[in-house]
Amino acid sequence: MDLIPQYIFNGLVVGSSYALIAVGLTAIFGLMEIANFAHGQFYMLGAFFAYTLTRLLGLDFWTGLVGSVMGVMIVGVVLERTLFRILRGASLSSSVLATIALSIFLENLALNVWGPRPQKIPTPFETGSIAFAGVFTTPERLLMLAVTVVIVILLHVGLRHTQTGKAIRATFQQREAAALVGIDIDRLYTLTFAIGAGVAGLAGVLLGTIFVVQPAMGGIATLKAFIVVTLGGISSFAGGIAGGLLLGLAESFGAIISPAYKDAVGFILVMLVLLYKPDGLFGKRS
Amino acid sequence: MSKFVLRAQALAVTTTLLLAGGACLADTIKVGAVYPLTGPVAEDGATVLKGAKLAVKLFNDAGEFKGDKIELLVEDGACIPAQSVAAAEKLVSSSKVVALAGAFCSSSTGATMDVALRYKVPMVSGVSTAPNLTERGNPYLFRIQATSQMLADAFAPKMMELAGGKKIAFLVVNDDWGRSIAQYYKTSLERSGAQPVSTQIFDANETDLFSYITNIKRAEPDAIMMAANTQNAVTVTEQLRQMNIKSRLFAEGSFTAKSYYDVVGKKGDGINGLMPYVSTYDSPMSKKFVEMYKAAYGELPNNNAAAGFEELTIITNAIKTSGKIDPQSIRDAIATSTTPGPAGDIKFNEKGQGYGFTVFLTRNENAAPMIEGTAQIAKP
Repeated sequence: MDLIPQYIFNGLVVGSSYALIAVGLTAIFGLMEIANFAHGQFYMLGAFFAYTLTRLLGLDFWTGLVGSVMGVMIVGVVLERTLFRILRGASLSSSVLATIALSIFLENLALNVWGPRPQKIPTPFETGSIAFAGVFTTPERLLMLAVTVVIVILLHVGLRHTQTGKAIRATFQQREAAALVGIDIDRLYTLTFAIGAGVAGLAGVLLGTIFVVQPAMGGIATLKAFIVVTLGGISSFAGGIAGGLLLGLAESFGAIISPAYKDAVGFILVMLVLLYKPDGLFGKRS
Repeated sequence: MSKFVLRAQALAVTTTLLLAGGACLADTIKVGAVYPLTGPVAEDGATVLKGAKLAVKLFNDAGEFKGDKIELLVEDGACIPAQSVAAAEKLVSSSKVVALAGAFCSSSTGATMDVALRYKVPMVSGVSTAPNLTERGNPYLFRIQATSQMLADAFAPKMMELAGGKKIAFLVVNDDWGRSIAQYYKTSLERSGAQPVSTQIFDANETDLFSYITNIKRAEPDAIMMAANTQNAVTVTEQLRQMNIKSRLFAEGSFTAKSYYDVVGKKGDGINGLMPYVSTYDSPMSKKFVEMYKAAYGELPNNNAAAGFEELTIITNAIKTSGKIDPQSIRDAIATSTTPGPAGDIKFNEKGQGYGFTVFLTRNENAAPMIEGTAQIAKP
C-alpha cells in the first residue's frame, strides 16, 4: 500500500474545501439559527466572479481572488440585510423553504448570466504537477491546503482575542443577554454573514483553479457542508473544520473499498455520529 | 372607465387572442424535446438542442409540407429520470406533441420511453447508448445511436492493438451509460485478449476524482476506457494529467466537443475517441451539415449536435413521407424510413435500433479530432 500517502493527501485537500464551506454555514446557523440551504451558492458565485474577473476581464489571479471574495461578501451583506432579516425569528420550515428558493434562484441566475458551459479559472502557477514522497499533487491543491490553515488560524485568533470575536461568542451563547449588555446584534449578524459568505466564495475561487466552474456546483457543496456540520456538531467552528477533514478522508479511503459507495461512506459516518454522539463530535449537549 | 367598457375591452382582447391562436394552430405541428438544460450535462444538452433547432429550421424554411411549420417545444429533463418523465408527460398530455426527441442520458431515456408507449407517441433518441433500451419491446422508441456494445465490437481489436498491452482499466460515470460501457467494453475487449484490472465509477456531480485515479494508478493499466460528458471529461483529463498517468486513453462522450477543447486545450491530445460523429468526417452529407451548422452558430458541430439534428430530421422526414401528423402514422413512417444523416443513412430494425451509419475511432491532435478508423454499423 505505497499509495496510502496519496489517499491521505487527496482526502485532506477535498476535506479542507468542505471545511471552508462548512465554517460559514455553521457560523450562520449558530448565530442566527437559520439553516442556509443557499450557502453553497456563495461558493459557486465566488468561482464565477473570479472567472469573470480573470478570464473575461483579464485581471491577474490574485486581484481576481480578492475582488471576488469581496464581491461575494457584498452579496452576503445585501442578502442578510434583506431576505435574512425578514427570516429572522421565522420558523425553521419557512427559513428552509426560503433559502432553498434562494438557492434555486441563484443557480438559475448563474445559468442565465454565465451559461452551462464548464469553465476554469486560470491558474497563477506555471508548474503542472509536483511529486514528493510518492504523492502526486499540484500547486493549486497545495494553495488550497495552505489557505485553509491560514483561515482556520485567523478565525481562531479573531474569535478568541478580539473584541468583536468575544461579542460573537457571547451572542452564540445567549443572544438576549448579549443584547442586554450592549452588543450590537444587527452589526454582528451582518459581519458574520459576510465572513461566512466570503470564506465560501474563497473556497470557490481556489477550487475553480483545480476543478471546473459550473452553475450546478453550489447544490452539491451545500449538501456536503450539511454533512460536515452534522458530523462536527452544529454551531462549532472546530467541529466544522474537523468534520470537513474527516469527511474528505473518509471519502478518499471509502473509494479504495468501493468507489460506487464513496458518498455512502459520508452518510454512514453521519448515521454513526447521530446514533452515538447526537450533538456531533464537537457539539455541546443542548 | 366604466365596468362595461372594461368588459368589452377584455372580450375584444380575448377574442383576438383566440382567433390568432386558432389561426396558428391550423398550421403548427408540435414536436416535443426533453434535454438536460440544467445540471452537470447542461452544456451537452444545449448542443443537442442547437442541432435539433437546425433540423426544424430546414423543414420550416423549405415549406414542403403544405407550408405547415414545426414548433419545437423543449423541456428541461436535467438528466434526472423523474424530471424527464414529468417533462415528457407535460409535452404529450398538455401540449399534445406528435413526437418526442430526447432524453439524452440513458437512464432518463429509459424512464421517458414508457411515457411514449403509454400515449402511443413515437420517441427518437439520438444520444442514449445503453444497449438494453431497444431490448424492452417498446415499439415507440427509436434509437439512432450505435450502442456501446456495437462500438465496442467494432473497435475492440484496434483498441487492443493501440493499447500495446493487455491490462485495461475503466473510469466511467455512474449512470446506465457509464455502467454499460464498463460492462460491454469489458466483454468485447476480453474477447480480443484484454485483462480488466480496475473499474472506477464516479458520480456526475463529483469534482475530485483523485481517489479513483489513484486506484487506477495502483492497477498499472496499459489503457483506460473512459465515459464522461463535457464537465466530467474536463475534470478526468486534467486530473489524469496531474497524476501523471501514462496509459493509453480511450473514451466515449464529450472528449471531442468544442466546449471540451476550449477548457483543456492540448491536454486532451492523444486521447482516442469512440464517436458516433466527428465534424472532420468528409462525406458530402457531413460537409453540408458542418457548413449549415457553422453558418447558424459560428462553431463546428460535435457528435451531440449531430445527434440532435438527426433526431429531428428523422421526425420531420417521417411527417413528410407519411403526409399525416398523427403520432401513429409518424411512428409507422419512422419504422420503415431511411434518413440520410451526417454520419450516413439511418435505418431501424424491428426493435427500433438504428443501423447503416458510420462510427469513428478518433485521436485528438492539436485540440481537434482526427479520424483513425471507421466502421459501418450492420443490421443487428
